[in-house]
Amino acid sequence: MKQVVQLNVNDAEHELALDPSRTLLEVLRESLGLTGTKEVCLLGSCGACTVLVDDRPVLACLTLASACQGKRVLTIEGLRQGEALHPLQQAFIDKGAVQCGFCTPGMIMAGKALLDRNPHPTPDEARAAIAGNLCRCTGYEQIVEAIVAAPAVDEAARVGAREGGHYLMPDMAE
Amino acid sequence: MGAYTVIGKKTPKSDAVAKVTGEARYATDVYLRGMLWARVLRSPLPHARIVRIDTSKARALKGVHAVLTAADVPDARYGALVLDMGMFARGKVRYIGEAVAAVAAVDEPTAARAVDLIEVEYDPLPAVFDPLEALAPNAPILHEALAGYTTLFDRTARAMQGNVNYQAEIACGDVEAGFAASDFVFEDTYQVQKQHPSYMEPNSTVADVDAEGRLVIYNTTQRPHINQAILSSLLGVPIAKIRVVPCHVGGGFGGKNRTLTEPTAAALALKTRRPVRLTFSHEEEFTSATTRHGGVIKLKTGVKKDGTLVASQATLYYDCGAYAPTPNAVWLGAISSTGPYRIPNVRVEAFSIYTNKMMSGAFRGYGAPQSTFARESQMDRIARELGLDPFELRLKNCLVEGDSLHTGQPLHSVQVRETLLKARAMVGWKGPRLGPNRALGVACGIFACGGFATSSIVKMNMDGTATVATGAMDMGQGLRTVMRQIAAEVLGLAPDDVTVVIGDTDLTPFDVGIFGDRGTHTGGQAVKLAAEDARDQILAAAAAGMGVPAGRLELRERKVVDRTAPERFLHLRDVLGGGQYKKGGPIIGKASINLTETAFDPGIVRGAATKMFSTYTFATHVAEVEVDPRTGVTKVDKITAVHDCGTVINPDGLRGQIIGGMATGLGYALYEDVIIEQGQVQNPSFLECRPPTAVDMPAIEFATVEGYDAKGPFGAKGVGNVSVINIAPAIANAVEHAVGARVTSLPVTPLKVLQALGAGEV
Ligand code: FES
Ligand code: FES
Repeated sequence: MKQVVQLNVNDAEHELALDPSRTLLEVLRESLGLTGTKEVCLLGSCGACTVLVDDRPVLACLTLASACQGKRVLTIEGLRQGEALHPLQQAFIDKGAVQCGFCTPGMIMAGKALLDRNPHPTPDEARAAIAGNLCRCTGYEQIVEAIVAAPAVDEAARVGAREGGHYLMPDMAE
Repeated sequence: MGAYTVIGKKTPKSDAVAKVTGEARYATDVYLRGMLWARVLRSPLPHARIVRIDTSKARALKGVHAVLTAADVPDARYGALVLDMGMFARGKVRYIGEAVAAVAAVDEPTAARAVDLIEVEYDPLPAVFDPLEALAPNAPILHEALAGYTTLFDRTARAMQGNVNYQAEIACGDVEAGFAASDFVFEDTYQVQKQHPSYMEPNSTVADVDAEGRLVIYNTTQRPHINQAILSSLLGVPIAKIRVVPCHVGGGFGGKNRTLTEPTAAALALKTRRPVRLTFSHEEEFTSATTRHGGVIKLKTGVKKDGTLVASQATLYYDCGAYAPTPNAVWLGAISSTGPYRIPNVRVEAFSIYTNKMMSGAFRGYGAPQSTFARESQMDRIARELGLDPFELRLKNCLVEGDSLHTGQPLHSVQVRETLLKARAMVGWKGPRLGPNRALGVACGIFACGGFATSSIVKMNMDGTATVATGAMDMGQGLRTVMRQIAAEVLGLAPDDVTVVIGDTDLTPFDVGIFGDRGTHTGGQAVKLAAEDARDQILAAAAAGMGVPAGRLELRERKVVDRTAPERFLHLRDVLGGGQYKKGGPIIGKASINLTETAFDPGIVRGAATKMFSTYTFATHVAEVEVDPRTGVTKVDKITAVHDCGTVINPDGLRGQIIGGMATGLGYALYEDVIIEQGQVQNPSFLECRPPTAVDMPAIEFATVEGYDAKGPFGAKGVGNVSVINIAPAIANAVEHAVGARVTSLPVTPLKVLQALGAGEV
């Protein structure tokens, strides 16, 4: 028996007829084609499926889609504003925090949740915020740096906007 | 060396935007119209004869499009060096988790249900789980027809006998005379566990058959061209009729230097004429993929009173599981078993042994973390018993430029001494003890770097930009960006002017796969040579137009410039536009190289799978630990690393490799362990077999020493493997200095520390 669920994902409204057992992760990836959110363990142990539901980080693999009815879901695809990257996305690039990138969407969403409630985190606070997100490539150091540096990137973006430009990624630093 | 414009400069990854926005496409993100889902039936027994398989109920299930067993596919085997594995178990199963049959159905639940409906009758056989027991004369034999298997190495007398699928020997000097001339002889046995690569992205393939009947494979791999060749041999399809299109790789570390999902998905696609997706479940990753080899290492070392190493005898028994996708891990172990030390009399015997367990394969460090743990643990024992400082003992014996390895290979670019000196200075070394239960431990290592065949094409475009094609895969470490920097440097372009096409077998020339620190060193060298070929053609074309000898011209800032009079120049776009339309035709640079060309002296090395590696990388690591003697818990507070990696091409990439390698080494040292009881993996998930998290990481400091490797591009060597191998012995050594507990088996668990405190060695 299917159930009709209204989902607000990245500011777009969707009405979907779903099997009640469908997880948010399955619906994002398979029904909505939002494959930026990654599927790894389906056990809640890796954090690769982290999305924000009403600004709080949740593991989409352990969340039923129907439980998100009437809530705002934000995925990695909803972070970028047009051409401009979110400061945290930019910080990940600047700090070399991306290797294979498979943990990256979940890391960025977990980092964003932290920055939303604590705009100037310490490295230890950043570490704690991503403690549930596994990364086998980086050893985390550059990810922590990116989260800590994001506010400065944000500031640069705002200065850029005030001066009439917009913050684009540097194609080649130095 | 040289003033570079792009090499060594901060250059963001070319695929970073795609990865931070979620747009990067990985194999699991490929959904094709009409796609079927595959599931695999796996063996529940470690060793059994297959009496009967009945697939009729599965075939009858609504939504099932195909069911395959060994009877439905060609009787062909594959492997990197020993061709021992088929697509499905044929006649018998050899480990729990081995593929017996596969189903393609309209969706995954239907495929899973169909798998449950397949009936298999097994006749259990005695099994063997320990590599030393598997060597016993009456041990159960896994591969009865082993001697008849095709192999790609020189067989020694003991290779391909019983359960030994690969054996290599090194004999240099006279080891018995060396022991006789030694003041002390140390003999120890070390034990190492299986460690899972734990790349985040599961193995996955979508196989499709295109309108021309060609097989198209979207997968996650470190070796697209080898995948293509294996598919060809397994399915009897010509290579030209197979296209492998690797997606972004969500981590590999050697674990994706494999061909696991591709053949099954391809066979099902050919059978159904529909796209078929096969993705490993998280549990399958832990039962049916590959791990680092576990095993046993026996080490006997003779030494003079003053600490001079005189003789070393090492015997390596690596447990490769039920098949041997890459048995020569033990060869890399044999190379690293002397450590980066000068030892005149060496004997090494290295065995890769079948057991009824999940397979062992390649994983970051490839065979060297095991033997480095043994060597560096014993070095500290020697230092302690001779009353020598651990750094002094290593400095006294370390290899220097101009030395040869125990394999007879002459070495170049050897800065191991410099790494030791710098690490010692960085930690402010005054001896290992720092205080109660706190200490430093040092380890120093060598890893083989680069080699084998690769090729590259550099296509110059009319507007002066360049398109580079290489079969060498980027598995996430950033090789694509390194290639871009190398080509840009040679061609006087900005990195953004260079596009790197990677992996797609229709578009790129052959590469054997990314492993053994060969991405930057060997793949990068091919790109450099191809770019230089293009450059020389450009200069020749411009020389004619400018009336200046080509020797006076150089490329910089998208221009061809007269070195003697920089105001005389042509824009690259004018040379290339003209070149395309006027004479000589379009400019294409190419290079085809094999950096593994020198054979070993058969008087020294027997049974090796390969010729000499291109070069060697070195590193020294120091771990600072605190051990709680009541609980046995080891806390690593800091790791200091100093690497000899030649010229640095991408500083952020280097940093990521060094720290990422440390994290993997930390897990290997303290807790990661694929625990197998009677052939059954006991902890098949990240929940139970957890890689380190952000809060587990110690403080980190690292440095490089100046070096230049003449065979690598701009002097570069690799760093991805050597970054792992020293961590476990550095930590184990520090634990002993902290509380006096010597743990000789990995991982160094609290229980083992407590046992060692209570009862000496564990
Ligand atoms: S996939 Fe959700 S936590 Fe791993
Ligand atoms: S970048 Fe590969 S898992 Fe984090």
